[in-house]
Amino acid sequence: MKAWFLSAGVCASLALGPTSERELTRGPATFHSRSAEHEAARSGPSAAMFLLPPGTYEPFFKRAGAPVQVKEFFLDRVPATRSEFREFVEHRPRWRRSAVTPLFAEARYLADWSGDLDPGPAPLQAPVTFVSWFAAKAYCEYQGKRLPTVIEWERAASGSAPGEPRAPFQFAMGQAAPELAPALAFGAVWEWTHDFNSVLVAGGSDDGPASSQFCGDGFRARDAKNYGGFLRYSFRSSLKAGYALKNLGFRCAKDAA
Amino acid sequence: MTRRSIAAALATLAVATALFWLYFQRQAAADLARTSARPATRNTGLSLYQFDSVFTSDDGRTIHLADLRGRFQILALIFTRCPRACPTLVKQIQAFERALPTQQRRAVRFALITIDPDHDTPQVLHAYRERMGLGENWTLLNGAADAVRDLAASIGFAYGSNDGEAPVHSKLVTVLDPEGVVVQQQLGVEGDQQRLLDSLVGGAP
Repeated sequence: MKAWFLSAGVCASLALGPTSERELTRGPATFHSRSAEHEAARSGPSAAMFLLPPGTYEPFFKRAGAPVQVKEFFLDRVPATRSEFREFVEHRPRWRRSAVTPLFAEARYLADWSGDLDPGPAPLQAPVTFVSWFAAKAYCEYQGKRLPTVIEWERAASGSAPGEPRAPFQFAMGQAAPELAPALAFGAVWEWTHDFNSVLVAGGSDDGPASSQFCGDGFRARDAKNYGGFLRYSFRSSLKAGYALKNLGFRCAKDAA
Repeated sequence: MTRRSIAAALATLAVATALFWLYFQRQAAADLARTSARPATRNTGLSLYQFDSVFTSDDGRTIHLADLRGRFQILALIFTRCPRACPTLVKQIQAFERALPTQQRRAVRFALITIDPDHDTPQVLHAYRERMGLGENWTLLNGAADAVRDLAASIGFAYGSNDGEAPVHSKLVTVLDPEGVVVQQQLGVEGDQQRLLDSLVGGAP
């Protein structure tokens, strides 16, 4: 019994002991982060995070009290890749395709993978897709991060084309806001957010007594010509947390300080 | 009549009564079983009772969602400060409850989870129960924001803050089978009640 406790204690201290520092870059300065045992095991390019400065954001929907104050936060430069997700499931077996609980990921979870630990022929640096919100959350937690909120993500990603006041259709999956987040890359995939289900397109509780499910009822967009925004918000409102879709990936965020 | 024949008649009557009683018991049990039964193909890997987050009921008990297992649950997410839509929704569900045939009403329970846990403490929920006249077959639950977000995101219930005003949210009503698998959902209980009713007998949605 004592020997068991002793060896368990030794193993635990070895596992939790040495850590590596990982550098997170932002505009003017750098941020150093300590992370846990998984950091030592990471291979592949270290994905940098970008610090978005604090500021205000005018949300897509007209709301009382808009614009919203957004604190500074870190956001991954690119969505989580297939190789990063492979490393995650290697260390977290219950998120492997053959083991995952159906409630937390539907049948198409990692559908384009060839096996539990084999992402298949597509490029390893491409964004991982066919992942559910629960899986995305678990991945970010594994990284010591979290999913960004809709507001955070939109603030970073609702840039428009040069000279264009608003984002056209081709930027529906996001376009880096140039003065805020030039180092971020969007546009490859739709992306999960922490509170994706905070979006109500219609049928909400504060609609009038005759509220219905029709598109135009109760929809209070600030800018009727923000087509990219329309697409993103409509898409979000159609999602359920267990869905795993072909063009839906995610990236992680992290509180600053 | 001889004493013997009276005794024989009474014995026959007793046996007959016992047989009838047994028959009715079996019928009632079969009815309940049919109401609670789920098709063998139902995938319990989809059960919401796999969320192991801890909730607190309005009478202060610690509740896991899995404690709701065993009966159909009609689930709605509300908050007590809701000015119009939630009270209306709860009243609609109560009307649906009263209109249920006896067999179904015995087999079904009702659950309300608050999306405003900071304000809707168990005590506040308890006052809400009294105000709305909710019976013992209603469970009122307070849970941490993350736990509620997980559950809501899973069933497709949308809600968000309206910047200090009352949270905006959908009027989604969800029916869970006795294993906690979603078998039916609809917005509000005013329109098609037959589908809700049908979902309570384990039929396909």
